[in-house]
Amino acid sequence: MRRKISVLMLALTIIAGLTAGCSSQSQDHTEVSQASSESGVTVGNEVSGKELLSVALSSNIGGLDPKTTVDRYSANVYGCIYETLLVYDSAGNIIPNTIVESYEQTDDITYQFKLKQGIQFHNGEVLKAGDVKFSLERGINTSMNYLVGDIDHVVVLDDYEFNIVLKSSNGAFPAGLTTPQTGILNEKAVNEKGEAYQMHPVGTGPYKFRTWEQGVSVTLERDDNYHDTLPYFKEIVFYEIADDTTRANQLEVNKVNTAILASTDIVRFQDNDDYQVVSADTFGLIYFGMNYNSEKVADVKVRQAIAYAIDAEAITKAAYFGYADTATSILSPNLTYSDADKIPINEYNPEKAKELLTAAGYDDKKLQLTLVIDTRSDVTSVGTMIKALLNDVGIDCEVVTGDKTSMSGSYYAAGTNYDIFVGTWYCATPDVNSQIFTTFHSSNNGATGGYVWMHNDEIDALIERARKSADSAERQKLYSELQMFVFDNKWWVPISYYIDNWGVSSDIDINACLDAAGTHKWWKATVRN
Amino acid sequence: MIKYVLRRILFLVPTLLLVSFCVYAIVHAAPGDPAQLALGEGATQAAVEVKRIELGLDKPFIYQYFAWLKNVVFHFDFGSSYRSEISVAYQIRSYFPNTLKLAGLSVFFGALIGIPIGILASVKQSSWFDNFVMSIAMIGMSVPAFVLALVMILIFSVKLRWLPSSGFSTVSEMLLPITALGMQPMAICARMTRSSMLEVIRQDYIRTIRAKGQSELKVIVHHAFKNALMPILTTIGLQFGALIGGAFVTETIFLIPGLGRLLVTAVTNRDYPLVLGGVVCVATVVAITNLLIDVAYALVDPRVQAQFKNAGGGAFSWPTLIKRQGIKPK
Repeated sequence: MRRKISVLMLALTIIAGLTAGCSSQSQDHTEVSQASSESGVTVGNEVSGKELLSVALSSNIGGLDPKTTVDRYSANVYGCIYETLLVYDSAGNIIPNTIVESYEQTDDITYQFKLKQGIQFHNGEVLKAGDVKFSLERGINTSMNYLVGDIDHVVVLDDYEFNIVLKSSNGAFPAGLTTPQTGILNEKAVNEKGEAYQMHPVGTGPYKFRTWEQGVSVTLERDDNYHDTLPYFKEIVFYEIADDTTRANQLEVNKVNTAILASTDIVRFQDNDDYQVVSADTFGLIYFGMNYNSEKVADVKVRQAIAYAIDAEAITKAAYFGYADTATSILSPNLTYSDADKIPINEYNPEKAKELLTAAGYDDKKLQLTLVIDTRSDVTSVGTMIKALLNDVGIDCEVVTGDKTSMSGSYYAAGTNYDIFVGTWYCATPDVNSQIFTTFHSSNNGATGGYVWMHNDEIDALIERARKSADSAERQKLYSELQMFVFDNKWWVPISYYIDNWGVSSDIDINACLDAAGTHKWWKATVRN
Repeated sequence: MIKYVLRRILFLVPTLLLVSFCVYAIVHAAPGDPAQLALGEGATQAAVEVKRIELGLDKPFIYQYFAWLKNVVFHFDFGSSYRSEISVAYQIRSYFPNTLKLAGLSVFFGALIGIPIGILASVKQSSWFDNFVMSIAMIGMSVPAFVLALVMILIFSVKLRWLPSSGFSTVSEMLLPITALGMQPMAICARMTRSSMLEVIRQDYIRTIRAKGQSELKVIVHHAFKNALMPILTTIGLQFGALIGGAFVTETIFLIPGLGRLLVTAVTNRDYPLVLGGVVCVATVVAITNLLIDVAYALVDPRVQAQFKNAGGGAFSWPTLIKRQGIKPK
């Protein structure tokens, strides 16, 4: 009997040991717990509902250090913590941010900055030129490389003045310095914390980091010593809610007061007086692409035939329930140098498609193509519709599908085993170079974004000239040429431009926050009177 | 018994080695470049190459595996996530306890409800109660947990506003996820208990005990149920093991930061250190669960206990018995 009890005690001890971490870890976490109330005001926090902005993001927050995490969801969070050197004004011009006293381009490859004096980081350290040098140079050959990879070195002239020297001329470079990913970090804080820095980010921004409950939320609190206009909300909580239905549910039960909505959930909030649906343009689009390496689509008649078979307007209505715009150019109309208003919508003409296929030698035999689509819901919807439309004109598609990672690794990386595909792209900066260089320059063919696998020396040269030039007119001319090239040759058939739809409590105003790059300026949120 | 337990714990080491190697091989073989995924779309090929070297991905697969193993064995360091560079150990410490709690409480809920109603159904076989319980069990086994979760959120959180729709810190937050996830274990427990009890209560010795005048309650609970317990324990152990790694969808719906979510994200991003760390944790817990179930068998069934004795188990060995109670071998 005693042995039975001792064995039982041993078993219970093992179970208790396994679960011991539960209670201690739970207590270690500082959680923002909110109790819902009918009025929508959240209680049970240090701040009352009117002073708390709670935002539901549609993906996980990967990290708070731009060196490792450049996705736009994480950038929404650390964009409130760090400040950039440059910003766009309302007219679309690049101007110094509030931490910069002056900025000028002194020659083709040199940008000179002077910082304002006395700007403090959240840890009390003063912002100096050394912090800028540290922040930018550490990003080279990391996830930030697409923004800072052209930097050769940063020269510190004195405590507040520095020069950024590029390897070669790059007209797109200043646009990169407006993105939260190039926000300025405190060198001392990063070196002190080392690997733990992600959990203790320090910036000069209007919000400072408070807690991060892994997998749930990040809480920021207002820095009342901020050097510029104080934001309205005392606290912002960013929730990681990848599932569309869950996000909409959280908004409906007032767990959050701002949430990005899927097209299917908008109707739940549109006619509800307690909420408003705020639409925001983006730099993103979904497109249909063709593989330059594929012999089957090498003939321009075949590509034109395929394009004529695709009804972009109907697909946009069906896939997005009217909450997206039919695309024209390969560049979102919200981007500088986009000719979206000049290039027409892809013409849908199935009869012409059949004629061109016959002219290309496909009257007796059927054209069979391999179509790659990944399992994201809108890509799957669009891909399925395209398959059906192509079938209507006599083109058979063998569909290969899987999660995006597997598709990138299996197909896009190799570039030889598919003919056509459906892809999406979000331009990372307001300057189109980051999209064009990644998707059409031959040096980036593969899984990083060049799924078309373009090998065209003339196009490469055009892209490089546009990238290097500091002359807006020249860049516009070159990018217009590229857009027409793609339109005429049908390497991309743009389908829809994304529109983000935010469900927001009726008493909150986020209109000033929304940014087409997807990294929103949450510190500008206020309440309605 | 103690020797047996120690032997099983020692056996855990080769088990974990085999599991980690197999998982590493499978994830490694899956298409997708961890370096490119870590840098994100838009990274240049040159930057991807640099990252690949930095992460050691240019080395042969075997070299990478043993480098990881060396760090784990000698430094107890599971490495850092390729993507976020946050320590794997830290992330698992943050996520795993929630999964343990969710799985444990769900199975406990399932057993707490399922076993008694299974017993009652077996005693009242072919009655309306028996048919009702088996119908509920059928629904519980057929309806996926995530469907149940969404329906319950819609009713209890969105429409009635009785319970919160997310979180896992307070009792009210735990009710919905535990109920949604616990329905299937409850259904399986109920069916297994009923079936096992029906086998036992028809035995001659049960008739004998009744004939001797024992109360029906004692006959069922003390005698019949004890003999029917073994398959029920097995079911509970299997359910717990399944929920440890398989509650991803429930965790996503209720915003519970659990290991399921972490592992799915890690696999999607080909984050090898995170995948390995998570899988090693799950394998360890499942192995320990199986061990505890085996120990429970010995507690419940004297025949199993005797097997341990005959195998020369330490605490029950003759030298110990002689020393303690003066028993002499024949």
